[in-house]
Amino acid sequence: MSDQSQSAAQPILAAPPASRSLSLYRRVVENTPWYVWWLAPAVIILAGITLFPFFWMIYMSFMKVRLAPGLSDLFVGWDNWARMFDDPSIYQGWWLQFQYVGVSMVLQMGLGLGLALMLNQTKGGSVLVMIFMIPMMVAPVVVGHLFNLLLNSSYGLYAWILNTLGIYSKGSLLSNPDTALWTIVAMDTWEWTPLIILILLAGLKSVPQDTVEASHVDGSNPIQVFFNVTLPYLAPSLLIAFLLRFMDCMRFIDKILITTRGGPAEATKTLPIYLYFKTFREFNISMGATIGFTLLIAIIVCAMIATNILLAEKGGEDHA
Amino acid sequence: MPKPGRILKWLGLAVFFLWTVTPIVFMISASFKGTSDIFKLPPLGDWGGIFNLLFFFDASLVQFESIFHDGSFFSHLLTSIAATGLSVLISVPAGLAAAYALSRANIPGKKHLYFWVITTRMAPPIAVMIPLYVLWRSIGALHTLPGLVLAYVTFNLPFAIWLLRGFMDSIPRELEEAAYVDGKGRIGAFMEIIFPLIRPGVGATVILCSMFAWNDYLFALILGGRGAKTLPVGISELASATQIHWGQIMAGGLVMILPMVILGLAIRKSLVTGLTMGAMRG
Repeated sequence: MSDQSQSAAQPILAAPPASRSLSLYRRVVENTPWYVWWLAPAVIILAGITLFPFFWMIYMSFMKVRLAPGLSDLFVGWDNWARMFDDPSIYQGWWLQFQYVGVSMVLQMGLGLGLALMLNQTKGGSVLVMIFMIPMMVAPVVVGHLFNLLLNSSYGLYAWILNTLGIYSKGSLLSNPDTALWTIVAMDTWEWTPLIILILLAGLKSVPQDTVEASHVDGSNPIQVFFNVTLPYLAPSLLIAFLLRFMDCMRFIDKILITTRGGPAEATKTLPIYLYFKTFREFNISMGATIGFTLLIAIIVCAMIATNILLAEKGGEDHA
Repeated sequence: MPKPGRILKWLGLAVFFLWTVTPIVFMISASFKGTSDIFKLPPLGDWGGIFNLLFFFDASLVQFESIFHDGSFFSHLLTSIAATGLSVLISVPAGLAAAYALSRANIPGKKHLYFWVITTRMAPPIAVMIPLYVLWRSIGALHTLPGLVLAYVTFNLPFAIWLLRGFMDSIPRELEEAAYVDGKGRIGAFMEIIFPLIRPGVGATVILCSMFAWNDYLFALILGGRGAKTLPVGISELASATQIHWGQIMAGGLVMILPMVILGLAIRKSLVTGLTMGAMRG
């Protein structure tokens, strides 16, 4: 691998002293491992747009950021932090976020598993899977608008169906504080259960069919076969599906912004939505940076756990 | 499988089929209706009326005509294409080089580098955006196309690195070593051996990166603003406090999602690999 650097090392030593500065430059360039040049563009770009802003956010959380021209930032110490811990909306936001993500995960994992098992080894299954994939490719913004219309109390198809079936007739599910959050959970479930189905279907391919048939012959019922044969093979895929969906569910707020914007009566003001309003509606950048930093740290901790598990599942190979 | 099980299975699949396609059919039919027809629902309980509403209606292109009539939709479309294209054009080549280095070299601290890349990918947009907003504002990049493109690179570049590295890891090193014996340099070996082999992976990466940028709303809303208004933001502005242009929103939404649905289905085999960042082989 080090072919180039070795063959190039000789002439440098023999370089005449007159061109000393040039040879120093060449020495630096030629002794730099090749991978540095290959990594450089990506690392420089990424550092500029992620690492630097990250530290800038920490800095801002200790300042009173003033955006008006001519004003400079003021150092306020732990002020923003103290106010964050005193703010009941923060705790409410985390609690709503927890409910939103938690219920979404349970619903999507359950549905995804059920449907993957139904689709596995089914004739015509691949056509159905292709149709089921479509919601994943619909932009979350469009999902938001579409369900706004579907649930509209006077001309929404879903509102009409719910009304006809006698399930719900009090206007849009999105404008009732008791149902709004769960309606958004349902929208997310509509959009992303297909991903879980796809991951689990890929995982089900690893289940040895002869073992399944053998245990059927042995007289095991389908439930026993599932728990004794299928589940152990499927466990890694279940974990991957869960972790990926969990991380995305924590991150994205487009659908809430399009449908309820945190309302009605703050029933859907999850922490990221609260953060959005604090930062970009009230323009309290310092508080935004403080809350944003805690959200980021929470997600980084989750990502750390998720990445370690994913890498371990992949077999660890060379990257550990 | 016993008979009742099979019936239950197909019943489950049928219900999920209806749950999945109804919103899409509804959206398509609303896009092809005159504005007053969108607001017509049959009386409660008239299921046949619903069937007609979804499938047998007076088709009209008036919604599409009206969104393309004033130039703003078209300009948002161009902004979307530019922001998506440029972010892919930066992310994929830089990602290819970095992925190759990560796949082939023994880099000290590689594990930390990986970790940084993956956490960058998993960071919540709303938190990433706060420092970017302040920084872009101070350098005058706020509400400009380059500012938005760089914001998209924050999630597309780590994704490209991570995914492409997975594809490269699956190619045996011996192939390049043969090229070195032939006297080719690293770049030559990469272009002639590696790149042709991972071309399908690169294609999938390009499509997925495009999808992430194309579907983004939050970055475009805050960092793109007035100066770089993409389709998701433009379409959302059709719903104001005073009036909601449902027909145009549905038609515009359809125009927006159609290319991504087609591209997504085209790469459906690599979609699972891509969306799980290589943790699963589809």
